[in-house]
Amino acid sequence: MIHLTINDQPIEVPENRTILEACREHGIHIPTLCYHPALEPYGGCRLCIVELKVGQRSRLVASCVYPCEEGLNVYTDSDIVKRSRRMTMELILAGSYNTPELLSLGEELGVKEVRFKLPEENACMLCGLCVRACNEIVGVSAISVIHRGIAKKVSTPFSVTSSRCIGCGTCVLICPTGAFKLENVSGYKPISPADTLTRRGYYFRVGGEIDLRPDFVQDVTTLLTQPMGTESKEEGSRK
Amino acid sequence: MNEEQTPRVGIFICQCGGKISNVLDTEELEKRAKALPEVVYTSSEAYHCSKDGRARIQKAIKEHDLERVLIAGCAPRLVEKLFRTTALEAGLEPGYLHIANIREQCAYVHEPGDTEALKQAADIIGMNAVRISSTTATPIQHGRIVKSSLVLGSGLSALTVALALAENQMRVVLVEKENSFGSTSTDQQERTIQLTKERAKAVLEHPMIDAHLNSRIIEISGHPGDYEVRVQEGHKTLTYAVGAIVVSNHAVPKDLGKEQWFDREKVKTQAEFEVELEKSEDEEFSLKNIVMIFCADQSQRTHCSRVCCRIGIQQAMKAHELNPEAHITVLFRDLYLGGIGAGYEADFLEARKNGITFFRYQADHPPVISDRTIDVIDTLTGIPLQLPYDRVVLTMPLIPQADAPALASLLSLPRDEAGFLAEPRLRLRPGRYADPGIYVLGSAQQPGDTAEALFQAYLTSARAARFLSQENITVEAAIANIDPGVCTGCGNCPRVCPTNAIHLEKRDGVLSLSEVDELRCIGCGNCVVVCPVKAISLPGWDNIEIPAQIASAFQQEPGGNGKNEKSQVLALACEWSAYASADLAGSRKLNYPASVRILRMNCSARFDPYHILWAFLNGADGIYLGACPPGECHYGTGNLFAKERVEILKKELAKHGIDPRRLHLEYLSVDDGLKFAQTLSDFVEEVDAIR
Repeated sequence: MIHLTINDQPIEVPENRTILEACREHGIHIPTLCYHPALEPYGGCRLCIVELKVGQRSRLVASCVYPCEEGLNVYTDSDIVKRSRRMTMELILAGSYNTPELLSLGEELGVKEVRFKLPEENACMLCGLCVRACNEIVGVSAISVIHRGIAKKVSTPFSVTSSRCIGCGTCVLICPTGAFKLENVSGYKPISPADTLTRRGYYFRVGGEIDLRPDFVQDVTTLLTQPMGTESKEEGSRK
Repeated sequence: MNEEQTPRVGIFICQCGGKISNVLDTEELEKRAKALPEVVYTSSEAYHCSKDGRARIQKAIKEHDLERVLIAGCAPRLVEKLFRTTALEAGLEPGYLHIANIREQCAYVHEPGDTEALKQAADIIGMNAVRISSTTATPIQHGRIVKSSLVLGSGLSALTVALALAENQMRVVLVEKENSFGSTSTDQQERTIQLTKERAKAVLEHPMIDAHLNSRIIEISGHPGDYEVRVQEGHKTLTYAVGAIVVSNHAVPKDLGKEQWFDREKVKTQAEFEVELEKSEDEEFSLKNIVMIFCADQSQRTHCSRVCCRIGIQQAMKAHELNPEAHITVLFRDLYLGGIGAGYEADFLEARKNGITFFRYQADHPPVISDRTIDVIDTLTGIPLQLPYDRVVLTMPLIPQADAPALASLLSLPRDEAGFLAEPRLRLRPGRYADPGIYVLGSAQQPGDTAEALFQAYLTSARAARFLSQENITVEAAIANIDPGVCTGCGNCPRVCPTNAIHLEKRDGVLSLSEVDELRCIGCGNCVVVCPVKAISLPGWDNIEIPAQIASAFQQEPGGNGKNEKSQVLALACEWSAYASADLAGSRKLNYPASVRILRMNCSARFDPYHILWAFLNGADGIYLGACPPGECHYGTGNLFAKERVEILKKELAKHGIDPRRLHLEYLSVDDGLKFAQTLSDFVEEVDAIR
């Protein structure tokens, strides 16, 4: 067991826990966007930032990836943490403004107005949840983060339709901004849209009505209902 | 339940750090869950998904000896794998852990304090509890791997693969259509011929290789790891069991055809010229003006045969050697001289040094063969040229053999626009085909030279050897199971099976019996629906748990007056479309009525008319079916079957006094959250109006 202090409150956690996990376990709220319990932590959104005080000095770390250490002194709600989160949130909102979830989170963190140019459409904020979910939950890795810097985006390898994508929609579901459009990113589209069924028939249409009976019953019925001699006549005409 | 002892169920209700508990009273839910039959343990906490939370689930499973675990929380799509791994670590069969979605499909779509929402959540938990207590987990299927392989073709690559596998103590059946080995190889360089001869000799002498000449494949059945192949050799038919199939047929040069305006005596194809050159090695070679036209066939503009430029240049050099006085001109559109290593660029330079003339032509001004001259416009100078000739050599493309279409349909492999067996994922996974046990290489896939063929052969033999040396292959998906005592052999199920996994076996001479190939079955449940005697079961999605779940959804609350104020609607949702859309509608906080009960189904093919009737019988006012749009079904055509069944059922319902509008089928894509919420709300309104 490891002993540490969070917000002046002594806490005991098992080994191999991050600060975020310890806080969640003890009911201390930390806002997160890129964290998901089913995925490996990523440290992408920087909203889970907390202050570590070591002697006179203090530093900010992402709690989702920082492991608990013996004797740590953590503050999750100090002024510097709040200020940092507010700025981060403002920047995130400058990317994707039209999401109710993000707006309410912004309100919670005290973002009153966004001082940057607002986007017209919800944009991806590169939290990487979809990419990690595709890899770790679905296990196909159909999408990944491509390019670097401002050109960085989520896409399929070589930006061509991925044959690995199984169209499960996990990426769409996990996306916190609603920016993920399956068609645009993974290139997923139906292979051969067909309205009619071309297969070995089970149901037969007889004069607009659908005959529910199996084939061989229908065949027998056709034989029985056919006027006598039609078959032989047909054979004769064929010759 | 047939079992004497009912399973011990544990229910874990997650608060999701307030996301669920702010809307739903989780204490009340826990109380109601405790009252459910067979429930021996309940718990509710902030996060069950955290490391500590999962450790507590494992502890509870062990301490309370839980046989079934239900976690009421968020979308199963995101956390099911996580919790099932947790369950497996605690010694519980993963199939006995289910997730009841009370976050996306309940808490997120309703306002805090909604009593209807609480009832919905309690019902969701109740439905899933009934389901897990009556379900059976899917047993993991193991398939054997026959340690032998079939190699089609006898080119250098085929021989190399056969030898490599045989050296690894795996039996090889080699089937060649012609009467000798490697006779029709496209690459007639001396070292290739030499190597082919050596390998052919080794193959013939190898005790592990069973080589058949003058023979062909007439039937392939079975599944990866265990194919049954019938080989016709002369009048005999031989049957072999093989684990992997390697296709390495050669390509053939396209025939020039008979009806031509030019003199066929003077105009030859590259293959014919090769023969001519070989013949004239001893005699005098008297040709003065030789013109070679590369890319002579229309198809070569889009599909390069990759070897003919190099062969053409080598022929030109040979002709120059035989008669240094001859004027040799090469007309090309584009030269492909690539290859493994340095390629054949050196040959080209050598030819230029020896005085062979090269002219480039444009695709829109191809060379014209006139009576005495070849008329062409040189691209570099733009000058029209008239080249006299007494021999024209046309480079024809390499095309697949005549039996390639038959082979493709036998193995269900795709073909590219030129007819070769196409590699589906060339760029990302070279050397990999649809089925793990099928490998295509060499000129069966695209024309290539010796070095490439050898590289491919070594790659393929490594892959095939790795596949064949596995102990067995496992399938964990739900698999249909046919009760032979009940099956009447009516023949319905083989006809609707999307993967041909069911076939009829003879029984007692008169009757027949359906049998399922476990490794081909994908668990769509179509056969379960069409079986007239219900002899087929599908673990996890069976005729026990689904009706039980429906009955539970419409159970009257104790003390209720037996009349619901709002319409009770059941939504059968395919997990690939409507169920995912419902989750998405929840995570986008799109409202829909709380009187809807969503039931997760594996595929719309499993929407059983009996289940729909059972739901009406249990008091459902309307039934909403959510399927994938045509062409997007994960099991082939399940959605189209569902559509047909709904059409038929609507007519039957009308005949029996039930308004057909109470049954509604909607096509939803996996990300149609908005459409799901809208169409479902509209449907509930419509049903309200009918009542």
